[in-house]
Amino acid sequence: FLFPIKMTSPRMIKLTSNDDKTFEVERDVIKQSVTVNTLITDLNMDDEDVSVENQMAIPLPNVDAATLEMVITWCKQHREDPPRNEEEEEKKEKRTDDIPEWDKTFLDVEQSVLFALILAANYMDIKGLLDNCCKTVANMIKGKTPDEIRKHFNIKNDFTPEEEEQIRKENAWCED
Amino acid sequence: LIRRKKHKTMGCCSSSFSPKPTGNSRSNLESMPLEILSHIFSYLHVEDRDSVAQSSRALASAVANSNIILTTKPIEMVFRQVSVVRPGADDITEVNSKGEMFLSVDDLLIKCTKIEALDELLGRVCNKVRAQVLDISCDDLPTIPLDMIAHASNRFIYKEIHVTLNRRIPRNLAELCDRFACKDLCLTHISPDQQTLLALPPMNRVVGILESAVDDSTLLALVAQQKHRSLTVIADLVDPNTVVSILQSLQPGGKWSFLQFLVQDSSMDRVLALFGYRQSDYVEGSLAHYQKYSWRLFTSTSS
Repeated sequence: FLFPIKMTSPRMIKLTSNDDKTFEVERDVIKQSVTVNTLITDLNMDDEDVSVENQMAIPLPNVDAATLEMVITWCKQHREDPPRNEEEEEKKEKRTDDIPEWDKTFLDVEQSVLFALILAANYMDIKGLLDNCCKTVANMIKGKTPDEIRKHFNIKNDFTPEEEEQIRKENAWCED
Repeated sequence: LIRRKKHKTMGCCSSSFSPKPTGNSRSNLESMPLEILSHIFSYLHVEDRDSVAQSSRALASAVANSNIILTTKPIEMVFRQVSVVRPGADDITEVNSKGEMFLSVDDLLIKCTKIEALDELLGRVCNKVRAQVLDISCDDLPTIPLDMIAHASNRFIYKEIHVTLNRRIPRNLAELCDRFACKDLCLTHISPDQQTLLALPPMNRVVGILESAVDDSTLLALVAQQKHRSLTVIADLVDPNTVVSILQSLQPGGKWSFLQFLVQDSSMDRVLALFGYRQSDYVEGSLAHYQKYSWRLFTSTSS
């Protein structure tokens, strides 16, 4: 006997960026966004009877298309990641040398793009992406002097000379 | 060399800098919400956080304020650089009228494998830490860093200070107790030698003299000293004859207010058999209870 095999296509979700570009993304991929996941659940969008054509797109007013595309790429890459245990994550030692190689390459972008990704990850509540972005920024800061930090992040020194002197004194080290 | 801050208030001083309204001239980093900056700062050591704070007024303010945010999270996040391993259950940060920061925790364990790290914590993270128990772990240190603990005792507000050691007692334990007027000593999983143990100044409570660490003669000598008001001996491997000798040597009306042997059921049976239940007046509660858990013996309530 031969039984017909029912081929099911992956459930798709539509997301719209703040510049009105719509993306279709697999439900299984975007579940990493707690914000989107909650919306899908609250709006009963997991109902299989609704085709993607008739489905309402989820608006993401704080994320532009270019950033959303990157977020989706990251989520696709990490779709097989085991679910995070936040309690365990909180207990973990805070390290910055454990960013996966793929993420390191992925996040090797201009600062404006990286910070946009951070904001998007924060808004969409994608903790893995947010962590790795923040670690990347932390790595940019580590070991740098205030001057080097200013230069790296294009920060204007807005301290008065008196304040600078005060800070310099407060941060003096002595050896004993 | 121990690197030490000249000024104790560092870590909070930068809160005096408020960010100037700089409009669009702010950098990407400065424009991040405090929540995200705190997240980024949580991955930085104090030196790096200081460098960030010195970069601009906005970042100085963010670093100062992120301290407060971070201390509401598990303590490891705040004191990561000194490997604080046990977060407090109810850590609450307070800032008093002078702008000094207080961290309140139930039990703060500082793993003091690096003296520099403790100093970093004490000098820079916050002004005062209020803890029910300040537990300083000195694993693998040949001697207890008394100066560091003195430093800690000035910086912390605590009800109890516990010094955790690694299976051996440094020679200066008695000095530690003497210098800091320790009244409560918890000795767990450590091996005091007779000289060190007998040199302890009078304590309100000595707990946890490990069975394998104390030979019977030391235990007898310690009890005979009647120096401490309360003594708990984890005595699983102590010869039951020794326990009986100790019990029989105790005189009603002596200085002891509380003596407790924690023994396994099998040892307890032997002790009780040898003791013959003759002085059961000294045994509090039912024997069945203490056979199961422990054996508490009161010889006198006087002190």
